[in-house]
Amino acid sequence: MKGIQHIEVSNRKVRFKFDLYRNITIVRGDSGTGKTTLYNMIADYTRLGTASGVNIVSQKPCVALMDLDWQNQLMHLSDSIVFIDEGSNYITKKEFAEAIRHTDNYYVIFNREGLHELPYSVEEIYRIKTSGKFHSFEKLFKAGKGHIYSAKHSTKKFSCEYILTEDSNSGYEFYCHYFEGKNVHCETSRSNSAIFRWLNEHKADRVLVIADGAAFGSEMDRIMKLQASAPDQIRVCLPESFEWLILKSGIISKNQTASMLEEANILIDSAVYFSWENYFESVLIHITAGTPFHYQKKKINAVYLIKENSRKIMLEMIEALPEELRANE
Amino acid sequence: MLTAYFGDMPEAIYHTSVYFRNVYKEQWITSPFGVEVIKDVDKSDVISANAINSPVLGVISPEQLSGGVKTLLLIRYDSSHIFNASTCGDNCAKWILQMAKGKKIVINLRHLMDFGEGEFKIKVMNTNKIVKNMAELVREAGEFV
Repeated sequence: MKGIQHIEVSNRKVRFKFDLYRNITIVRGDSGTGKTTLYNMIADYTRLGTASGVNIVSQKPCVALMDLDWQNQLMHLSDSIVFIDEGSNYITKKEFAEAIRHTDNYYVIFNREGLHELPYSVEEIYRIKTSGKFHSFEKLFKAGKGHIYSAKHSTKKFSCEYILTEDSNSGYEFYCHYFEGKNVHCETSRSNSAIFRWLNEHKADRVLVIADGAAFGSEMDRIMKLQASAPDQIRVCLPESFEWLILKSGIISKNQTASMLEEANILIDSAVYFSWENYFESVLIHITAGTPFHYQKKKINAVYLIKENSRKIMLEMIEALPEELRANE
Repeated sequence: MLTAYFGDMPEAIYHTSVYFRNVYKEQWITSPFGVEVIKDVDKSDVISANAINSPVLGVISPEQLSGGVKTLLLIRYDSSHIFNASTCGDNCAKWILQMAKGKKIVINLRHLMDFGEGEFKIKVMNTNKIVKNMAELVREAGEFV
């Protein structure tokens, strides 16, 4: 499935209106806001269709995934929007991630757990906002300037001793080179899920975390709560991905990249790309193949380390950098 | 005191709504605790054991209460089981703390519930340590969720 999906679900008493932008959408938030009501309405419609009394406006079929039968049910679903209730513990398992990886459905999951097997975006985590009988989705985490996400703003001027990335390949090499000689240590946690432990083990240190927002959703709750407990020490910067920064920088012909970035919603096929970071990586590898900018994930091409190019790559998140690191520019 | 096990806990009741549907007693709904949590969390008024007036849905049955309220009622009235309290939103946290005053309450959390900015006492069962505020809770339990 591709594109933004607009959905309206209503009965005589309530109306839900929302848009889905990517293959995985997570809905959490307070109790009593309507998550169960929405799921039950979709479940009623799944069983009885229009005879349920539920009205659904959607370009694609909306289906509730029912508990124990989920694997069998999934096998028969295609090009659909699949809703999953919070009591479904199979969604925490690797088998579930593998089962939905190459499907062409979109998934709306009601759950407060991290769901570490699923590569969902920090931008696609919502709560339900209610106004009388009308309900809509509201983003739980919003990016500030320089792709900074904060649960609590620091009252002091931010400075850092460490740059921490989850990337251990090209991105890590790039940041190490970029920050070389700037009185800051560059470290890698080697995975998204290890960032929390790294930060917890470096309680006294001031750290700028740079990670791929396109697949960082599962970490967001605990990292934001950690950030809230130490706002002067932790800053979290989450651009879509390292490859997205390169595509956005304009180093590679803007004619080729502009539409690929602007129309990502329309172009990205959920059956091919489990996460948008996979798409940006694939696009970058494809359009730089056979050129001096040829990109590979494992090792950074030295052309990206040239000062003029690295500056352009960093520009998108320059406002996330402490002033002393910007001043060196 | 509140004791919480963070992360996967096979012996805990995960799907609390289904369990509630099959075991709840009518007096849970009309008890002072039931009336209060239903009013606070779901903004609804208990009319009788089988009828609750929701400002959005009209008159509903107890089975249509939010997942959070159902889990709170289970924690309060069924001490023989441990329940997945990650079916509760942060607006249920104060009720969990209140229930744990002067009584041992054990819950399973699969996320870091926000217990607010005040002081509290929660035993993190995974490490047997007691934490007294959110900053300590996040540091102690974050690794397990």
